[in-house]
Amino acid sequence: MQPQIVLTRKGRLFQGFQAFLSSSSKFHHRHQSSDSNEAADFSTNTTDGDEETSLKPVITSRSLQFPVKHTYPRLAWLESMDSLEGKKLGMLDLHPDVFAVYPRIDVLHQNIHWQKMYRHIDYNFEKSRAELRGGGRKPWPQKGMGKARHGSIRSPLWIRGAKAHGPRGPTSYFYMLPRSVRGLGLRIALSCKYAQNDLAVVESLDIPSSDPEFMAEMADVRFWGYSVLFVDDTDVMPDNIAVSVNGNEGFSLMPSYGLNVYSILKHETLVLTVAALEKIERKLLEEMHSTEKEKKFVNTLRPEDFRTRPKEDERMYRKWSQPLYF
Amino acid sequence: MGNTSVLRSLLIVYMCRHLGWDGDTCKQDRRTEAEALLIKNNGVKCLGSPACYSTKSHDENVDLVTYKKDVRPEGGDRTFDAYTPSPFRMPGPKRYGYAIKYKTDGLLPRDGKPVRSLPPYSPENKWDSKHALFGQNDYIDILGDGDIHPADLLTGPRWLIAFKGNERERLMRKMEWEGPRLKLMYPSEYNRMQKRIRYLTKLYNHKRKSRWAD
Repeated sequence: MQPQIVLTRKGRLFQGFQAFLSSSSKFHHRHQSSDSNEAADFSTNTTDGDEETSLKPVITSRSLQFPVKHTYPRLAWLESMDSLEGKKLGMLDLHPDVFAVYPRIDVLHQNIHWQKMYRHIDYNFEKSRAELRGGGRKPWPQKGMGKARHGSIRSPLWIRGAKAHGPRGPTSYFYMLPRSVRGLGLRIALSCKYAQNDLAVVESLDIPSSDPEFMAEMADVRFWGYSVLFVDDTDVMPDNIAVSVNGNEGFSLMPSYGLNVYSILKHETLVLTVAALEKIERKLLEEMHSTEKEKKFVNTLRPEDFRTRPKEDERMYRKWSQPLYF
Repeated sequence: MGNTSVLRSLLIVYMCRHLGWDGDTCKQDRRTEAEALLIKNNGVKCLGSPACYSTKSHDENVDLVTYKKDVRPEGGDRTFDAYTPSPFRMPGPKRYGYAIKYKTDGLLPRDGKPVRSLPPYSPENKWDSKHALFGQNDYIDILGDGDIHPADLLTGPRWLIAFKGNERERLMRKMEWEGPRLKLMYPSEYNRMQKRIRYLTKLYNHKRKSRWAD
């Protein structure tokens, strides 16, 4: 089922959107869902030309997959990126299983440690005493010299000798964290961002100017932190945002499939577009509710997989000077 | 002026000429104005105060007191060269004493060699594109279409990508992947790997007890 998002802009938009009671919400005492198809009370049809004074709320309804009864959906403003301060276009529901998960710091730590280590290769290498040049002969006789007994000048005891248990060659620290733990890590990171007011949902990443200073001022006015991570649905971004982000240190741009716990925690503010929010929520909920047994990662790479030039036939054929007749 | 004052003035003149008094710098309280004029007119140096010390040695008259020299000799072979020679010392070499052989002052000699020092500290920029986007696409199997696994995106030595093992396993895998090429092009490295595999096999299987000891 497709969650509906209806964005209507009629004249001047209503700045302070008020959610009102809906009869189905028994547990929602503190606030109400933004499922507001009953906005008829507020809206007034502007048949007259006086559009400046009439206030029309933007109706945004968002139905959640895998709804949950033990807690309520969280709310977030939907902002626009067309001006410095921006306008509030509506309010969106956020799934509590993605944006209201208990903040488990140990799971976050596991995820970040995995991200750091699974790609790490240590290239340090120390030769052993057998590999060092020299050191085959006994330097002096065992007895009678008045010196300590030694068998080789490259033993670890000697200067310029070998390291007994030094780093040995390129070492890899690859391992895979279970899919469920990684999904949980993402959900916890998003929950932490939402809880600490560092999450902003934006209509799209179309900004009016490609000047990096405009973007910096926008972030300043909206109290977005020193570092901002912009996440869009696809990897094709508008020109203006690409140039602005490139010109500002601390601003990063990512498609939704590139999101990860390390980047979420590195950047102070996370700015998602609605499409990206939809996609991320759907994927994370699918992962959470999938009943497939997780397959263990098995490395099936072979040297042939890295072949770049086509395989030539190197069999040695015998050349005959005359045709064969039998 | 009486007889005593005349004698005194004569004495002053004698002292000025032979022992070097300088009327301007002398700080004798009892001297009269006439005496000061005498000293000044004679234009000789005064030995009464430390400011009048000079390195000129008066060979005719040997000083009975040793004075510290203004300018210390640069050679510095003997510590006692900073003082005027004492008449009570016996000349000749000595079998005691200590000669400082190192420089105690002045600029260090470089002899054209550059000064070796640590390279200037330049901290890494934690917000360049490599650091700012670290970890991107690590969750692509969850957040993407599901056809790419993050291990497919790893870079490094081909036999080490998405593989973890102890030294022996890594060497054996490298031998599988690179063995024929190494045997042809790098025979020393091939030999080293062969010997190391053999040694580690014996070590792990016959000498080590713990499974995780590497």
